[in-house]
Amino acid sequence: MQLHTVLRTEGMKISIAPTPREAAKCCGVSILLADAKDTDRALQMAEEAGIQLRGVHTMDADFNPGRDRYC
Amino acid sequence: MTVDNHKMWNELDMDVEMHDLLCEALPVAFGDVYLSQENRPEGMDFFNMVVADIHGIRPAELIKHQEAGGKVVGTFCIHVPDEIAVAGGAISTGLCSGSQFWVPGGEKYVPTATCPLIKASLGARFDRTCPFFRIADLFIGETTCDGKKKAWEILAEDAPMHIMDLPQMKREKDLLHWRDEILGYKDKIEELTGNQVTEESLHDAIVLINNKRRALQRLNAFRKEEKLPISGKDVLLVQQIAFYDDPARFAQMTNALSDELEQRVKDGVSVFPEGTKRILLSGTPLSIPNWKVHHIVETSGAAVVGEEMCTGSRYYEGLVDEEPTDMEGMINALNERYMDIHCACFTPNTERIDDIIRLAKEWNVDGVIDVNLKFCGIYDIEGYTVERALQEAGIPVLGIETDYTDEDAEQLRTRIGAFIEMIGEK
Repeated sequence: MQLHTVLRTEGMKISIAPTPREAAKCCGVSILLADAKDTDRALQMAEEAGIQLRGVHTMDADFNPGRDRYC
Repeated sequence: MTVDNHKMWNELDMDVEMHDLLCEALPVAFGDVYLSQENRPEGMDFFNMVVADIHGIRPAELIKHQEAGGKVVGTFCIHVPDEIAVAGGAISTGLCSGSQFWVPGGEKYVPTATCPLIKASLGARFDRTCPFFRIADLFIGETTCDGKKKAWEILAEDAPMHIMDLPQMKREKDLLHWRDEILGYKDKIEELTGNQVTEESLHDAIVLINNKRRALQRLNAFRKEEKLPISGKDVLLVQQIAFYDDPARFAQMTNALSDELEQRVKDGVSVFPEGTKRILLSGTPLSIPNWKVHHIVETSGAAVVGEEMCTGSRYYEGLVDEEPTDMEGMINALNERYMDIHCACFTPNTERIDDIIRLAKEWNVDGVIDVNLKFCGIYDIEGYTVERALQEAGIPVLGIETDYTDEDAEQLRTRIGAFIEMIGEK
C-alpha cells in the first residue's frame, strides 16, 4: 500500500488487484499498472522509496466481461 | 507485495490444496467483473485490496485479536445484533457463503434442493476451505428459515453454535421474545469473552455500528444521481465487505470513497453512458463473491442503483436509537431496530413491498428485478405479492431465479437484456 501511495502521488494510472496465479499461488495483493510502459518508472520509484517488491509480472490484460466465469 | 498465507492456513487446519483451487479462480473473475470497468473511483482500491487478500489480511487480524485474548463470533444473518458482540469485546464477522466452490461440500450434508447460501456455508466449514470458518470461536445461527434451522443442527456437530430464535410474526409478544433472545445473546457473549457488556461499552458499540450504517447510507445516496459516479457492482462490493471488515476502518474508507464521489458529482462525472437504464434489485442476499446478477445487468445496458436485500438497504437502513444510555433503553432500541428488518421470514411482510416501491421511486428506477436464490421458498412465494404490487404501481418488474453456477448466465443475459430493452424510453 506504501507503493500504491507513492505511485498515485506521481499520478500514475494504477489499481490494486489480486495477484495473478501465474505470479503467486495464494491470495495476494498486487499493483496493476494500466500501462506496461510505466513499469521502469514504477520500479525506480519503489527503489527510491526503499520499498522491496516480491516480483514483477507482465501479462496481457485479458479481462473479458462476457466470459461469465465467476468464483 | 504478496504475503504467503499458506503457513496461516495450515495452522488453521485448512485443506490448503483444495483452497488453492478457489484462490486460482479469484483473479480472473475479479478482473473480468471489476477491473474491466472504466474510470472506477480511486477509493475503490481499498476494497480491491480487501478482495485481493480476502483470506489473508482480515483472518490474520482476527487471529491477532485471539492471541491477545479476544474472541471472534461468526454470523450468518443481519438480524444478529453486532453491537452485543462488539460491546463484549468480541469481533463479529459475517461468514463466507457466496461461492459455488463451497456448494458441493454442503451437498454432502443437505439435499441438493437447498438454498446455495446454506449449502455454501456448510461446505466452507466441513471442507475446511475458509479461514473465517476455522477461526470463529462461536457461530451464531438463527431460525429464519427451515433450511437454516436444520442446517445449524448439522453444523453444531462440528462447530460451537448459539442459536437465536427469530419470531415469525411481529406482534407485541414476538417483540418481547426477540428482546429475550438479545438478552440471551448478551449472556452468551459475556460467558464467551469473560467481559461484561456495560452501559458504556454497549453505547459505544451502537454508535460504532451506526456510523457504519451512516457511511453506507451516504454512499447509496449518490446512486440517486442521474449521472452515476459509481457502478452498482462497486457499491455491491463495498456492501459485501461491510459484513466482515473492521467497522471503524470500513466507515472511514467508505466515507473517503464518498468524498471522492462528491467531487465527481460536482464535476459531472458519470461511469455510465447517457441513456443507461436504472434498475433496483430486490430479494435474497448476494454474499461475497456473488457478483453474477450485477455484472450481467451492468454489461447489458443498465446500472444497478439499489439493492433491497440483506446485502443492501435491509442491512443499513434504520439506525439504532442512540439516545438511551441505560441498559434497558439500549436493549429496547436494539430490539426495535432489529425487529424492523423486512425479511420474508416474517408474516405478514407488507413493509417490504412498501420499501421496494419507495426505493424504486426515490432512486428513479426504470425497473425492478426480483432476484431469488434457487430453493428459497419464502422469497420465491413472496415474489408473487412483490410483482403484483409493482405492476399495480406501474413499475416494470422481472422475477428471476438463480444460483451460484455459471451455467445459467447466458439465459439470464437473454432475459435481463430483453427486460432492459423493454423498459424506460430514454
